[in-house]
Amino acid sequence: MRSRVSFGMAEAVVLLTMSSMARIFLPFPRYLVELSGPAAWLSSVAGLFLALLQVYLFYIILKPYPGENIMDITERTLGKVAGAALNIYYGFFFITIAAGFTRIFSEALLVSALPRTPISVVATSFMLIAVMGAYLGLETMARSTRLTYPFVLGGIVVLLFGLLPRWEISNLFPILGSGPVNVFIKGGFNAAIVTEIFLAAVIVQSFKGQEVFGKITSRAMLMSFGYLIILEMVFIMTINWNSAQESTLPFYQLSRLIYFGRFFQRVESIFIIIWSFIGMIKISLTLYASAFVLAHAFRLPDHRPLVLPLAVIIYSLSFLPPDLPSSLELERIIRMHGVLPSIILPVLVLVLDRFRRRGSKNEAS
Amino acid sequence: MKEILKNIIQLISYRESAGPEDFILEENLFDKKAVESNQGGSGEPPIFAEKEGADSVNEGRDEGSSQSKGRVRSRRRKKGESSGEEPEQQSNGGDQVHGSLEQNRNRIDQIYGLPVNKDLIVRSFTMGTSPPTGGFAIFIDGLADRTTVNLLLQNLMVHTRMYCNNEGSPASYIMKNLLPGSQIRTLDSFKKIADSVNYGDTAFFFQGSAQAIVVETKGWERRAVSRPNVEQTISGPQESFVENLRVNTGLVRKIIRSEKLFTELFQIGARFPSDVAVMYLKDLANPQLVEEVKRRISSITVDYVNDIGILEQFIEDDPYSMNSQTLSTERPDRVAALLAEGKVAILLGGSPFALVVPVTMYSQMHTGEEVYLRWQYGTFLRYIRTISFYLALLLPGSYLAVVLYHQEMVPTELLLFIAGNREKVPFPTLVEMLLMEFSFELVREAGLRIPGIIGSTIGIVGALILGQTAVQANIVSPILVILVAVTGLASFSIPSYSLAFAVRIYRFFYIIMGSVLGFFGISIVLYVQILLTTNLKSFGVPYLSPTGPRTHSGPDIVFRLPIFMHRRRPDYLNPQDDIRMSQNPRGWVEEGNGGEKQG
Amino acid sequence: MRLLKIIAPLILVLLMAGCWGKRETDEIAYVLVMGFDKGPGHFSVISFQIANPKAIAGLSGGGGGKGVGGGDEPLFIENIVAKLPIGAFNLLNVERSREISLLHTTAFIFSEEVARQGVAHYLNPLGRYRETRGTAFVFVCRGKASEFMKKNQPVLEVTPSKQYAMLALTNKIHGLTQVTQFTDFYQGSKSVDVNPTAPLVGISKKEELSKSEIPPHNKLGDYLAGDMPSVEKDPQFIGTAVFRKDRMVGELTGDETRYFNMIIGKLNQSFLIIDDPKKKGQSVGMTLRQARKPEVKVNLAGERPEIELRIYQEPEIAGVTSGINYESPEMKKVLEKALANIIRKRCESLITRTQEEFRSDIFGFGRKAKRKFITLEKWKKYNWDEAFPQARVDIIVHVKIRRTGLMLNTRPTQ
Repeated sequence: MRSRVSFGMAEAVVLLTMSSMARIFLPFPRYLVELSGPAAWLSSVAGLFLALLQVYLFYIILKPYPGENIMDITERTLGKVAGAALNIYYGFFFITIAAGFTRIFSEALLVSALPRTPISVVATSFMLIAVMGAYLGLETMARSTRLTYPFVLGGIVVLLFGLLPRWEISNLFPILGSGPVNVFIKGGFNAAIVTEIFLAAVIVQSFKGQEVFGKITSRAMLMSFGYLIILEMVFIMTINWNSAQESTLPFYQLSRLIYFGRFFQRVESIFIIIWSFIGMIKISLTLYASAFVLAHAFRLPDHRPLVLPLAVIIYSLSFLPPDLPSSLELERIIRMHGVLPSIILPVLVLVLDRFRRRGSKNEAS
Repeated sequence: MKEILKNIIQLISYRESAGPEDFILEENLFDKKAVESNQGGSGEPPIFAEKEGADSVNEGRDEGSSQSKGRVRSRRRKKGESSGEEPEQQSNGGDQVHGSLEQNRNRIDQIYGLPVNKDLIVRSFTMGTSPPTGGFAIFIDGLADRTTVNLLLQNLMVHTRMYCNNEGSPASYIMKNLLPGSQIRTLDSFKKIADSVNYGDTAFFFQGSAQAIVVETKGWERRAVSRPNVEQTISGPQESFVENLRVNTGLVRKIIRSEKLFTELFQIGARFPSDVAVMYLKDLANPQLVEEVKRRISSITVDYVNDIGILEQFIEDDPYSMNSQTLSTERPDRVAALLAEGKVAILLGGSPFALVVPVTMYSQMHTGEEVYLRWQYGTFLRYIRTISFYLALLLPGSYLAVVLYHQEMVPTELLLFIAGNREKVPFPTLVEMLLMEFSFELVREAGLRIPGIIGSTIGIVGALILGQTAVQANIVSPILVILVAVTGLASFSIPSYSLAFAVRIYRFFYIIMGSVLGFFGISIVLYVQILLTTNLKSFGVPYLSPTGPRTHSGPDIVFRLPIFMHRRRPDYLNPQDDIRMSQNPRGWVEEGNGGEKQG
Repeated sequence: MRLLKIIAPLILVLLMAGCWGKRETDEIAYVLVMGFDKGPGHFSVISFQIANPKAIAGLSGGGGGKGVGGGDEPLFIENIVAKLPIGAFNLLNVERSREISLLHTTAFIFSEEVARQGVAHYLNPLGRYRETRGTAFVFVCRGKASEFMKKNQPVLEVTPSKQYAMLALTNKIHGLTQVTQFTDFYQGSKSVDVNPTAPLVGISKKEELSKSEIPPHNKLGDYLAGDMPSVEKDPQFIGTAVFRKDRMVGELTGDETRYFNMIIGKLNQSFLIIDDPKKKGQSVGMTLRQARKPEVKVNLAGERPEIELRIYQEPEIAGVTSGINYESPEMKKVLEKALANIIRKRCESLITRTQEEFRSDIFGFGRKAKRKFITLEKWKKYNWDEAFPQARVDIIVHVKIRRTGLMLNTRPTQ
């Protein structure tokens, strides 16, 4: 069908990691602190476990059908029409995610770095880059991620450990924050919704198929959740959870506090480079995924013609919410409703699939 | 009196100029389809006539088309297409050497336009055979080595005793027995004879022979092998290529003394051919790579290629990309080292540079210097070069971004100092920066052409003008001068000329985007550059191996491991044989038995 | 190629529309120090000390001199504003031609009046504003902040911002004041476990020591800022202002601040003079150094919290006026015990003062207490604000004299 692009395991891991780390730079960690108090990092740990469960779920869905991705399996289980409809729905899901992220990333950049630039300029730049990335293909994106990840991840580590003089371990107490229910269930649930697992299931054929799907995705989840946990810990340790809830952009706030003597202070602008990288990677990857899914659903041989129109759609959608807090709210709702394609529908597919196979086995015997 | 009046009237009156009219090139009245025109009456057809289906000559456009930018899919060869080295021409069936000297002589006169064209010398002689045979030799004055020609003529005229046994053709007999030239062959087509004579060979025509003998007598004035001009190192051999193809191949050959070193010769250029040599190690280089190189070279249809830079632009994967995809070097030792890794070298007669393919960006940043030194010094050099690469690329753009958008990053005192100095300068920072950059490029460009005598004076003047006085005249601020100077120096430290150019051009993008969107703009251009560079392929090898796709060659990217740890050849080339050292390349290091070689 | 033709004009349009948000350095006025005073009614007077880059670069009128002095000087504007500093920026632009930027504001000075009324409504807009440095320093000024700023002409420094930054360094040497950064101040004002403090500054008012006043000779630095006698009208940085949430409730002298630093573990070095334990009337000077951070153990089992505090000091003998050979092992123990006693007494009185007079936990004991609770609910219910003043604090001081300077055996003068 379409050309099999393939890249290695390390590149796939890095690509998924960087893409799912995008939310670290956005107001998301603040929300976790609001939910769980000083135990926000515990919520992330709980989220990690839930994410790994998700990985396992997808793994068992994909296992019996080597050579196919989640969309093929959906079509196979639910029949051509319903399957195609479901795939189109997946495509729209990606579109909404991309729109939400574009909006929030652009807003974040405006708040922190470029206060007077009109938001359309920033969003346009993001979109242009995303178009270029999606056009050039997954292989190029994975390779460039592989190239830049030492700088990006290293920069994050430098930042977080550069705040060492400010760490106040007692800020992590009381340990269970706002209560175990809040921390683990509500917080964990919120942290666990990661669209990258589903994305990995879509592009699974690009990296050597299902045998390594489990390994790749679980490793990527470990890494990205690891960074989330460390960030939350440093965030709470540096800024008391009370005041931490107030900051719009936790990462930016942290980078503003670095102070190594008179010369090395207020270097937060360097971190703008890091996080715009991750933003661009995430948005181009999601754009690519939506083009890919829709191309598959409509039985098109190539996803590239869809990239530009989808970019325009995402661009216009991203301007719908009137302001930053409401766009955050909207994004939260979208993420919640991301449970549907990430968990519920695959479970449905799994159940139906097993049903069918047991049925056919009964027939055969 | 009358004279004066006449002169005055002549001065002030209008006269039609009696001189010849200006020279105008009229539009030719010949067939418009032919790319060449005005053949000068020789009646030969245009070299590139447009034919349906087969090679259409679009200048410079690579074969085939692709739908996405930057991705070239070479056209698969159609069946029945010949892999001939020359473009299709009319066959030379009717243009053979005759047995009669007269006719040959007339034909030669016709081809070369004698007696107007004074370059070709025709020397008639009689051989001392019984009966005496007449003949004549032709060669081009200035290209053929006079001594050798004299020797050949001497042999034919003086020392020849031939008995009239017509066993074979006289030509082959003469060739085997009488002519002491080291490279010799018989040809019977005037076209081919003309080609050879054009390159310095001497052609002998004999009475009664339907073949001509062509002897290699190349010997024109050429530059001696000298020190490298562009790539100078402190340690390592100090030879560089010259303009003669055979001397160049000889220089490489004397380093790689192996019978597996193959040199394949091609001729490209339809109107007047140039020789291209493709060198590779037969048992080492990937045969598909060699095949691809040969295919691309032999499929070039153009009338004239005079420098290897032009050849590079014809065969590279992506002509629109900013980075060059071949490595050009003038040092034979470097070519030899790269050949020994499994790469392929291309040499062109008349060009003192060699191309090596495939190349990665890291190879373009390496020089021989750090290979010949110890690994610690090599690593140190590499790191300095890496830092200067980043500086040359990012420094001006980052300065603009910081000073315009992110002033909080600068320490307060420095910022106040910069601000204070900028108070007097009337231009915005971006204009200042562009002015300085432009004048630096101006100095660089002009410096190439200043005659040697006044060169140093101009250098001082330039430095004074651009540095000191500009600051004092409040046109630029002093910080900017330092910045631009450092950037310029940093860009000079990049070994590959093409890569340095690419960096220079990218720098302008960074400047513009840095001043429009601050650090966000810089990260945009950075990301775009990374995407485009990762996407680039050089003869099938991704441009950023071995970090683009992570392949195996670890020991020699930036940090250089000790030489005895470079066990494997670079993996991305997929050579036929990976291992270049044994397990224990330093045999004298004891492994239990006193210094015996192991493995 | 076609894509290029489409994209290139777009980019051109982008660029031609101008650069947004770009601010050249010569369009901005950099505020180095901001001061907050009380104005009439609900208003505040906000003062800005603005740097003049021309003068600093030494370009106008032979500049130099006082650095920021010369022909031009840092400017002073007083503004009347309705409570919010951000509004002051706009009003400032009515008089000055450049845009205000807080990017390099390294110090915020609150006058004592303002501090006593509560600074929360200043902190909020400053915290929200993008340009504020979290690492800027916060001071409380005795008297009017605008006067302090006017009179503060540092002789040794080019800009006041460097002066304030150097304070952090010099504090390590004497420990008589302390250094608070904006984010610590902000967080402290909102959190339960620790309350903020800020260093006191003031302009010296007294010219010389009046006869009736004998400063206590064994409390080195027992002054509040502005009280230390000095001929020059110099700014003095000594002492601490104590806050409860966001209101100032009291002051500590320099001497008390020394013990405060000792308790929170930030006393790098300080000089102390104690009475000679063997000879009355003579003094021994010691250079105190912190050996280890103090250990705090909090026990919440009983009715009131029990806090055990261990302080470790490693002083050096700096001077002995009595000539007694304190370097010998037996005498050293005597000295150590005396010093430990003094330290303990003074720390106890400080903590008592904090509990009774200020009722605010500025030492951060609440942080340790927090660890005993599992969830936030329980911690909030315990109400540390009310519990701390009831707490019983035991202090144990360990003193070990390590070095004695260049003299190992003091011989008495014959």
